[in-house]
Amino acid sequence: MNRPILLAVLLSLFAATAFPPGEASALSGQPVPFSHKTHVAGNGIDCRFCHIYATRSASAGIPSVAKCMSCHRVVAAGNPSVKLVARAADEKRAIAWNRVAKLPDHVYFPHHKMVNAGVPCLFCHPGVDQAVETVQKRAFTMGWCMACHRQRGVSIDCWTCHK
Amino acid sequence: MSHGGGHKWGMAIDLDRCTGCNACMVACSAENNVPITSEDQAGKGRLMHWIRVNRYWQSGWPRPESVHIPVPCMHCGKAPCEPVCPVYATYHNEENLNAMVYNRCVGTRYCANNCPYSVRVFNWFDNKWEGPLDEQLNPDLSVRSRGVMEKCTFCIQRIRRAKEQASTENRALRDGEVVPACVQTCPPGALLFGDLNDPDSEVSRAVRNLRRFRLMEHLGTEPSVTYLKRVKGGGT
Ligand code: HEC
Ligand code: HEC
Ligand code: HEC
Ligand code: HEC
Ligand code: HEC
Repeated sequence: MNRPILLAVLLSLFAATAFPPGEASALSGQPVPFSHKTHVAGNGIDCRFCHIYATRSASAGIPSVAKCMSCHRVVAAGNPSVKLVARAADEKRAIAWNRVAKLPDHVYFPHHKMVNAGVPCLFCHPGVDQAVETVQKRAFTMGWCMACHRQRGVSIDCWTCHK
Repeated sequence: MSHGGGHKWGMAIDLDRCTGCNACMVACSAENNVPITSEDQAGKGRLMHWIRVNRYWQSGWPRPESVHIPVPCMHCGKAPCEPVCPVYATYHNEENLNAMVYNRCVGTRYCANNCPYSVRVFNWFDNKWEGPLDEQLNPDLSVRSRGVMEKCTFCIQRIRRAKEQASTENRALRDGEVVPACVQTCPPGALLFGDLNDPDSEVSRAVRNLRRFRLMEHLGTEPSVTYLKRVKGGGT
């Protein structure tokens, strides 16, 4: 009778060890299998070409379907995954990507500030260029933010980051 | 810029202009994700407003006259709320703001009990915004959860935004660029906001006005909000 519960407990223990707290889960399960490896490592597309707001605003932004189609009308148009993108474009529908790199609601993080100060994308999002499925490998802990801010003489006032 | 850039934020409220319309309260609640309290809860002293308008009757029928006093957080220079917080969730920052870190707050409510202006409000419940009202929540602030104290921040998110804009354009912040929601919305322009360290800012000039006074100044709280009011009558 207790077996399902036991199983659930064992599974959750496994999940806890596989993904330590603070580490994003690898099983993001995106609606379209998008590979950064193909685009960045394989074809040399710059991060900022797709995440265009990273230098201008707080959020880096996810590229629109229209942006994907600017290449994929031609490139790999027969690929079944690319067809999913083409269908979304034809139906004028956005792809509902699942978030991967995320801070809690009470933290304010302005990308443009740090990107324009010369912190490389891959310092904070290590391995994304090689990722077949996007993972956030670095845990965004407060101590980590603070250590760099202290080192570089940036404000560590609570209200710099907390909202 | 962020390092003691030298701002000292302050507000001036001209009571001779205030009509008591309450628009500041509405604008504030909309800007800052402040929940609406039911009449029932308000009766229990659980009303949640970051700015309120006190009304005082000066004379009755047939010539009723009243004075309205908008009361936001005073961002006291010597804030009574700060030393009583056991977890440093409320503190004074470099820009003369009385800051409140919601996620640090454990809900002792000592701060509110020690505030002579009663401007701190407490989340007794996890508040819900029924659709479609949830769509208008401001993403620049968190929605505070149950057990957390909150209060006026002088719209810190707008201060932050203006500073970012100025630094992007590689220039200093201009006077009048930071506009809290209450100030922006006030129809007669009774509220002014700005940098008290800049002697030429509009708010600094208002603060030098001879009509000035501050609420409960005798307590030594050094409030950052200055009121202006012409005193009528045969002198004192
Ligand atoms: C061809 C366009 C493209 C390029 C180039 C690109 N990305 Fe992405 N990126 C996406 C898309 C689409 C997503 C959303 C799907 C996903 O999470 O895999 C995404 C997601 C992400 C996420 C996770 C966002 C979230 O949902 O929280 C990060 C972090 C990220 N990218 C960083 C980078 C970095 C760093 C680079 C450069 C090394 C880069 N990206 C290059 C298109 C691109
Ligand atoms: C200083 C560390 C840091 C740097 C540098 C950085 N990021 Fe991020 N990134 C983060 C954090 C933290 C989050 C989570 C933000 C949140 O949830 O508010 C994030 C989230 C994202 C997201 C998803 C949410 C969004 O903002 O749209 C994308 C996409 C992304 N980063 C791409 C990039 C790209 C591209 C670069 C380089 C141009 C970059 N990041 C540089 C720390 C960084
Ligand atoms: C700058 C051009 C460009 C843009 C923009 C672009 N891609 Fe690609 N994409 C490519 C190239 C090149 C390939 C590799 C094609 C091949 O190997 O045949 C590719 C391959 C793919 C594939 C096939 C599977 C794989 O990984 O090989 C998918 C799916 C895909 N892209 C999705 C997207 C999505 C979703 C977007 C929009 C967020 C996007 N692409 C934007 C150039 C682009
Ligand atoms: C590798 C170093 C580094 C890390 C890690 C880092 N930052 Fe920063 N951050 C900077 C630098 C450098 C600046 C200053 C940019 C400037 O002055 O224009 C900055 C600026 C900021 C600002 C704007 C401050 C201001 O005065 O306008 C905020 C907010 C911020 N960071 C939040 C965060 C948060 C939250 C994290 C952790 C999730 C984080 N940072 C992690 C280097 C870092
Ligand atoms: C440089 C940015 C930064 C500064 C400055 C900062 N924090 Fe944080 N803080 C964070 C980030 C990012 C997190 C989220 C960490 C996580 O999710 O593991 C956090 C988390 C927290 C938490 C945990 C909240 C929870 O529910 O888990 C508390 C409490 C906290 N901060 C208090 C403070 C206080 C008090 C100050 C001022 C002394 C401060 N923080 C200054 C970035 C910052």
